[in-house]
Amino acid sequence: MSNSLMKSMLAEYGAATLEGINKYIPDKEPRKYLYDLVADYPNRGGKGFRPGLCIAACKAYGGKQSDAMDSAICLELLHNAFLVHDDIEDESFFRRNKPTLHEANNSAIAINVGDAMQVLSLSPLYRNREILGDRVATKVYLEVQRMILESVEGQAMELGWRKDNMCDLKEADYLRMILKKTCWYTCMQPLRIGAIIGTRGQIDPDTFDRLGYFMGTSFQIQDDILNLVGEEDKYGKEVCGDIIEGKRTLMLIHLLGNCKPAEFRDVRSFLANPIKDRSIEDARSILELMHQYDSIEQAKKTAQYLAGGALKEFYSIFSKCHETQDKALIENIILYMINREY
Amino acid sequence: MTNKETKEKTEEIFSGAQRLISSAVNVLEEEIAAGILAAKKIEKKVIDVEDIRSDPSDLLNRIRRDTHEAVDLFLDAFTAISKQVQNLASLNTDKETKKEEAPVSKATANNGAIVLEADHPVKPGETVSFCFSLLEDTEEVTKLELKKTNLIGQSNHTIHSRALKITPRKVQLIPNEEQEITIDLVVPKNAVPDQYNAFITSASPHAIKVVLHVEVTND
Repeated sequence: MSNSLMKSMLAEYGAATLEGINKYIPDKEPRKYLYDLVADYPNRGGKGFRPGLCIAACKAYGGKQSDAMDSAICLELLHNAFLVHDDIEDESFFRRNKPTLHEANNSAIAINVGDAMQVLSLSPLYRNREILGDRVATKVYLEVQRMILESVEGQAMELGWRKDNMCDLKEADYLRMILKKTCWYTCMQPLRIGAIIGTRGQIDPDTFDRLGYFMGTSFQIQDDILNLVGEEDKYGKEVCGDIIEGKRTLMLIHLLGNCKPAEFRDVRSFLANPIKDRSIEDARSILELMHQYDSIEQAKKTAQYLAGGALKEFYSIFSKCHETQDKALIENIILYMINREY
Repeated sequence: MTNKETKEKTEEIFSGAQRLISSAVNVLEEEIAAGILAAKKIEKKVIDVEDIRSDPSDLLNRIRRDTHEAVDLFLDAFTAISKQVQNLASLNTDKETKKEEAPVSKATANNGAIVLEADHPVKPGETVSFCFSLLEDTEEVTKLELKKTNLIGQSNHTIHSRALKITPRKVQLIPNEEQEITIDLVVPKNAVPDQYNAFITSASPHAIKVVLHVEVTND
């Protein structure tokens, strides 16, 4: 499968999901400070990664797209709700090339919008009962419940590290945090839920844990690298923003573990300041250090190794499935990660 | 790069990848184990198993109460069906008697009779779905075909069985296989409000008995 076909399939699944999301947003007041804003982030156009994986897994296991749509809508609504709240927690300025919701409005309104999106995500989940039946719908519900808990636990870990200005973290700490904060809701649960629906609950969803974990971690590391070396227009967020936010990326952890004591003190002191007092010049100096200590190259390798691990898992799990475009889509996402150039 | 250097580089990459994957897998397994443990602790806090065990009579009463409700519904359905099937017409339909008879009927209810109730009333023209699973827990391959009756209302109204669609209708189960059965009811637009029951069965020796219960309302 070509990368353009992969992107067009993800776009198609993303568009169908967005259409579904828009149907679940109440057409009533208050619009200006609630329902119009609920539609804002989803309509800014994301990668459609989560609904894409969910629908593709469902279809690869013999299910219909329509069976997975409500779950995909729920996942995407929750993802966007997390983004709204994350942007406030991280004090981010831009999301998908536009001011973040709290920057364009205020934090109170953005928090409320995020809350509304979480509540609205329950509707498609409830509707699953009509389409999938009680037994399968209950399984999907439990997956979503677990996914939310894992994600907020992971977010708590990282927020705690930043609050306590933790500077002695190891690679395993990062792998644990990213497993919880990102992997469950980005890859593991979309695959698990899709396969549960496709097999009408016949599959053991734990089968997909390693695949989703390796994929999710590789995806997140690459996303973090793009924040450092990507072009701002293409990336859609402020470059070096993660350094200013003090995000404990694999590159920062590597740098802190390998730089000289004086440099370590400088970086720690930068991270001890409130975000508003951290300058872009200092952030660029830290980026230079990351280049100097090969932190970015090491992270690229790590992402590639993990994507390789994901590919091995993919072949072992999906070898039993018929050759379909959706199976090829999942394979191609992993290959894209392995061959990614920045 | 010489062959030796290439080989060393490959080994270095392989070793690095192996170490990383191994570390990641350890983290994953630790977290999954922690999750299971946390869930068990919550379950223990929410459901006080020891407390329930310490009062077996209360537990038994609860089981009886739940079973009575299920058996009541089952007998209501059975009574309705009996109006359609003449050879079952002699069954006792008195509500009080059913309560008395319930312990006797419990075995019937527990031995294969499943009661599936729509969780909310439906209007004419709407669709409601019921689901249940069949598990082949013997070492044999089982083939069966599900049959359906008309839906009979408590006030003798009828909805024709063609309003019910069973998917799949014919089932083949290999040992340990589980198969979900979906029954869609498209309530006809001219259906009269009533409490309806239908019976889904399969021929012996693999007797399946499922009672569907739905309330049709215009409200």
